[in-house]
Amino acid sequence: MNITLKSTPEDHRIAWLTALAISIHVLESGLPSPIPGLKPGLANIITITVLCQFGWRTAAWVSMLRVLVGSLILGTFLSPTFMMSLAGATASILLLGLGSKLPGRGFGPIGYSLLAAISHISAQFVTAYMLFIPHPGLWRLFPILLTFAVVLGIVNGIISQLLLKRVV
Amino acid sequence: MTRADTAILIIAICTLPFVYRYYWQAETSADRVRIFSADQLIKELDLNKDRTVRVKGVLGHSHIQIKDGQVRFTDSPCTGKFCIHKGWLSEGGDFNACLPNQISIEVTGQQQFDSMNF
Repeated sequence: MNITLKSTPEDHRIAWLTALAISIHVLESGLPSPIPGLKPGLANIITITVLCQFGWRTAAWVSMLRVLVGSLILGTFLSPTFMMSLAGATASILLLGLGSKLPGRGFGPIGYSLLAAISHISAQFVTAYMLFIPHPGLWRLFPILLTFAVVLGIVNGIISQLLLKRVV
Repeated sequence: MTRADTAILIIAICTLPFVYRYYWQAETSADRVRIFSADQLIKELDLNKDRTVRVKGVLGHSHIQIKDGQVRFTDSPCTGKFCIHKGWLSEGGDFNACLPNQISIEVTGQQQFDSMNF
């Protein structure tokens, strides 16, 4: 019996982009962080760029596969780190889906990136509070990390925009 | 940047100060003391009015002192005297109980805190 797996050009594209996002995800996990929970979220640059270039479906695939495979490589699959990562990625991809439905010119990479960063950190706080640290004191960290999310969201958006300008 | 980009940027930056204010506000100050006898609320007093009260428990009278926004047991007919050694309570949610005499005291603020925070 011969089983053939048909792959479309879109599958190939998703695989390439996911590989890129995974590399960034894994490299980034080696970066030191001044505050626990603070990460630049560089892999999100790929998500945003893909969203602008190829649409939401591809971006959702790339983002979810990146979280799954990234955790397998780092050995954090099903650990709290993975849960937080998954919660953040799911929330941001859902909000990006809503954002991309916006009529008119809609969002550009900076708006998308900001939207993704804010939903990412918010979902992570809710997850951390519900699953791991059910203490109200946790929320005292929220404003600080939200500030970083806004700043890094803008920076990542600008990087994504630069990438897109070179591509287009 | 599109118009939607500018809009979300402005919204995000303008919301940040309110997020700080909301999550960093001071805990509501504790202002009430509730005294329970065998799970029944028997007295609710002002934490900022100094006074001493005697409440009857199953063994005898417990003495509770309120002073300078703090409250403590000063005397109790129990054997262990753990309730007295616990000392002053001042924060909202603080709780102390004399199990043998079945008297407990709780400090509450405007906001109700769970006394079993972990």
